[in-house]
Amino acid sequence: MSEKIKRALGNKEASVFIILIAVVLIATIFNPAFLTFGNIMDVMKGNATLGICSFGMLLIILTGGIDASVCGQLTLVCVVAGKIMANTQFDNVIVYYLLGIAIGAFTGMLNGLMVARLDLPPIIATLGLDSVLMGFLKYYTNGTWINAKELPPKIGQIGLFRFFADPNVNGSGVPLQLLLYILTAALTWFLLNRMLLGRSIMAMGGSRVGAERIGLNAKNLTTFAYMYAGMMYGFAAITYTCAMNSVDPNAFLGFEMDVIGAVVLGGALMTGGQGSVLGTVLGMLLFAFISNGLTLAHISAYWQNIIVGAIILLAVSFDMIKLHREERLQTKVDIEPKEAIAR
Amino acid sequence: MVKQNGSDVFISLKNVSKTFPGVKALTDINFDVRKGEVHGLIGENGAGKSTLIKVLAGVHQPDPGAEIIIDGERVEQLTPTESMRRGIMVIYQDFSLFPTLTVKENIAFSEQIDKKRRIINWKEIEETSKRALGILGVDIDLNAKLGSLSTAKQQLVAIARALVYDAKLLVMDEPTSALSSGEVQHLFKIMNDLKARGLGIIFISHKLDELFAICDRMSVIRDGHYIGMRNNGETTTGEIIAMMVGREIVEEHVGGTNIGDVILEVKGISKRGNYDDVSFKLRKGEVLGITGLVGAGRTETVRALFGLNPPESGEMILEGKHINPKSPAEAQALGIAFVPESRLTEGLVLQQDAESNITLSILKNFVKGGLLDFKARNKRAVELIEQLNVKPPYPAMQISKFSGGNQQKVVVAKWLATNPKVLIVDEPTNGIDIGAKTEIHALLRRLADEGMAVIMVSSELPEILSISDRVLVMRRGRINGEFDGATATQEAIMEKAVMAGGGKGATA
Amino acid sequence: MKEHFKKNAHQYRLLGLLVILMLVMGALAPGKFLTVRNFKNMGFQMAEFGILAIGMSVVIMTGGINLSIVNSAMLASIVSAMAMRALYNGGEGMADIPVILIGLLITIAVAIVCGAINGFFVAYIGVLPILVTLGTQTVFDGISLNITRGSGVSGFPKLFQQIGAGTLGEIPYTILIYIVVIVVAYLMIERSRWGISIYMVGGNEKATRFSGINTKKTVMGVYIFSAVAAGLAGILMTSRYNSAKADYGSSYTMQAVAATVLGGTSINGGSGHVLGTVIAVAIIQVISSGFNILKINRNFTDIATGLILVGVLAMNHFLAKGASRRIRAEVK
Repeated sequence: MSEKIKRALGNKEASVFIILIAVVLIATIFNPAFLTFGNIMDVMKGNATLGICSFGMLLIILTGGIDASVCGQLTLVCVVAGKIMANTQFDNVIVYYLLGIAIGAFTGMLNGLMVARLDLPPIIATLGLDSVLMGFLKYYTNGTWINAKELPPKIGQIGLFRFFADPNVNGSGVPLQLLLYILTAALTWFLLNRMLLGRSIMAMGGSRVGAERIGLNAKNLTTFAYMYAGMMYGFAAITYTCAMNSVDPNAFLGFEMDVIGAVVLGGALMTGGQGSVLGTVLGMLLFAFISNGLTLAHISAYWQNIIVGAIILLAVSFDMIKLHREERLQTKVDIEPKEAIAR
Repeated sequence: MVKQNGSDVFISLKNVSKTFPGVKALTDINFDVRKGEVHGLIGENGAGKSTLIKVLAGVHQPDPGAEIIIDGERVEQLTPTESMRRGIMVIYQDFSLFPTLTVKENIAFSEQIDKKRRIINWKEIEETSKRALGILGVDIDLNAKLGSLSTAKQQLVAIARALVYDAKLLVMDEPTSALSSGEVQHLFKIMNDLKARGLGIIFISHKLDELFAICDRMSVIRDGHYIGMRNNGETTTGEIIAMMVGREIVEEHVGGTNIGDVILEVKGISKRGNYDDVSFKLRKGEVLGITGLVGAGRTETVRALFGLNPPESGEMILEGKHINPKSPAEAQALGIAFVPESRLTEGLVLQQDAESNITLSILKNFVKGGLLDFKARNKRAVELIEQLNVKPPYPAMQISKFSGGNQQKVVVAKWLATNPKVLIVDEPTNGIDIGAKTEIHALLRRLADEGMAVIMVSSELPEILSISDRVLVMRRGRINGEFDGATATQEAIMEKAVMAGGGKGATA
Repeated sequence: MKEHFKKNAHQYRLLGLLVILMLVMGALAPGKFLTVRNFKNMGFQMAEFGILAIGMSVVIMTGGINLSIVNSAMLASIVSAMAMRALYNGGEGMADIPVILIGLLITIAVAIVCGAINGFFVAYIGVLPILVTLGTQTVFDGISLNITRGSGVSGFPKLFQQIGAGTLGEIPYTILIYIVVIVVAYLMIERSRWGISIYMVGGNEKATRFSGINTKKTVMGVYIFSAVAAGLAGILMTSRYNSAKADYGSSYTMQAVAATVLGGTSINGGSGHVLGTVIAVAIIQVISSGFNILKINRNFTDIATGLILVGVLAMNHFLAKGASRRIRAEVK
């Protein structure tokens, strides 16, 4: 088993990276506008929400769980923050970020407690939370948008903010959202690679019994993972609200599938313990670049779905086929060479 | 070698009992472990070994009245942290390691937890793990993912992890169960080194030969009672076995009475990394024992017959016809049945009842007009339960609630129901009590005498010798010897199992 | 008898909950809830969701999940709707009954293909069901959107509407269809060899395979069954809306998972009953209709469903804990 699994796992990021390069090349051949600074920046801006959320999902998947309440949690923060913005015209965005993170921490904690303390299967617990949140939000908003006119002007301005922008060139510079994405990536990387807390979650995902035997509290670690995810969603929700300069209570329907897809494309195993920030970044980029490449190649949005879905299917199938093959060829018995006996 | 000096005692337990609601797991255990000795702990499954380990690890608190004295000092309450602080390190059978972390983290992670390093100190991890592996004198890539290592290396990592702390007593729970013989020798060498450094080691194993090879003293527990202690060199396997089972049982060899024609012939089957050039014949009415060390390719070979591990070359001939089953379903259709090694993961659907399990292989017999005839199914299940004397005889009871022996009877019954021509059983009495064991032996013998051909894979030589008509010994993927079951001896078989060609001079 | 109650305790608990809910609704809305008219209404709505939930349950019994269930239903409905529209041609083409029959056959055929794709990846390649169906969800949805450009397909024979709207006396056809599906599903899942194999595979695939059962075929069958059930639900939806559209019923996926689990099927597989799911569907329907009659915003149905789901599971968790404590005490 050893050698092969090592190769399968260790080079996971590498193989995602190679596919990513291939996608970039093909997309550029179809439309040279793909590989331009402006386009890449736009893609990053458009997918920052997905990217930030994927780090939260990564932690949950590392514990062997799953979160089906991404939509409910994101929408809750968007709607609550949006309503306050519209009603008070208060426009200090830092306060909204803190609020979003606090709300997310709370909803995430609810998930975590259900999973860790009540032993509910993660998909059920998060599904339950999602239907409660979405039911409430649909009732509360009645599906209506909060549009740009109702929001304080500063919100939209922050959403448009770009670093190093040349005032004479439209759409130049680095969008704020990309920076926020990099910030959360760095934070999550630091957590998972440099902090005892993050390493403990990795350890627990690999062997829960083992983690408990060395004195780790699996329940608290699990709860933390869901809370961290909630905080990421809260952060992403405010970023999204600024970027869109509006709140659409239906914006995130089905969004959890994209988030899970990005994490899994990045090589994380649904059984827990395996996955990395680098992989998740690559997975998100793959997801985003394929969609954007298809758009630029003038392929309809409908075809994009089909192609993205097919790629997810093929990527995961390829892994399984490889694993089965390696299992089949695995050496179980150390057969002595015949010559040794003859001698 | 064995010091009689009392001051060398590292830990001694006095009157340790442990009662769980409804069960008294340990009764008045008195024993001690000295510094620099390997102390074997022997007992059948369920004898109380794991409870005792957990008391030592501080996971379970003994009943009031017990005394635990470590290094001459009475310890009032042994908690997990206190146990570790005192230098008691337990290496569990499953190692409890983290497959997705690196080797160095596996070794030094708990130190980081203890020192409350919020931010991981990688330098410290590196140094600690290097030091620990240095004590063992082994060279393992510190940055490799643990999951990518062989079982033997993972075990070394587990030992290294225990040495990070100032270990004074190492408790090893069945450390050799997944190791090849070469790896076992290496482990013993390391254990001897550790012993020389003054460490006490409690070595738990089922395998008497290993216990006799490494231990200074051996303690036997049975049904939660401490039966006694013997110095190595002053006892015999027979005596230890007698202590384990309560009486000296030497199962008489019972040969076949009704051996007929060859039913199955295997000619030179090979599969890379599994088995090589294996040939044998099997007759009706015969019990063919296949033995050898773990990793010799026995299971891999018999799985080939059941369509689970098809050969790359060679022939298999059943009743004069060439066969090449590619799946258990095909093998079943040919009249081959297989009782796998691990009844919990491969033999039973645990959350279902006995009836569903027992009839799983013959479901199609009950199909009537497209639907299952549950009455007929129940009737058949009751018959089989009666036939195999499954206790309690409740077809509707969930299978996980039966004892190991009765679970195994259910697995056997499942296959008997198909009326196979060839019945293959892999370690049929693994981890079941002595009564059920005898029953299963008698059953296999009876089935053979009634005309079935039986292949029994087993590591236990007494088991092999008790009912086999012929014995094949495998070594490193090949058949290395064949014996007549009536005249073979354990020593002769063991020699074939460990030495190339059974010749002298060559070593494993 | 005692054994029977013990084994099906969860279902009886659910049945009790259903009765209590009905009585509460009846008391809160006297003369409105416990009426023939309301039950007829519930019947119209319950069938499509119930059939879908049964399709979800059978997959979950194997330890899998089918996230593309609604998407395969809509794809099958859309393909069949387009065929029916072309054949009927606004009344110029074939007669009603042949058009509808062809339409039904096409629905089933497309559903079988969708199910076989899922089944292939799960059973033969060995990919986790959640990932397979996540992928096929996007693919099926993409195809549906592609061939309809996101708009609805309509223009079927008038008779087709009768499937979803007609009644036999006071009983909606949809309920009759639902009952037939329940009976067939019950027989197939709980009384047939294939069905028993489903539970076994869900409990321990390896042990089942080692017992000579072709588990790949079993699982393949499960996904096809699921998709065909979804196709039937799609027909009911298409008939009720008198059109087929890619985004119909999108909230049903998660609700079907909820109904299955609420109905007592373990998300880890190996257990569950068709009737449990049916009762759970009825509970959700009673809440939804009751809220509707009581003029409570319909979105509270989602909230209540979520709370009941979590509540019932949490209760089971504590009951199981209590039971194991009791067993230990008994041994003592």
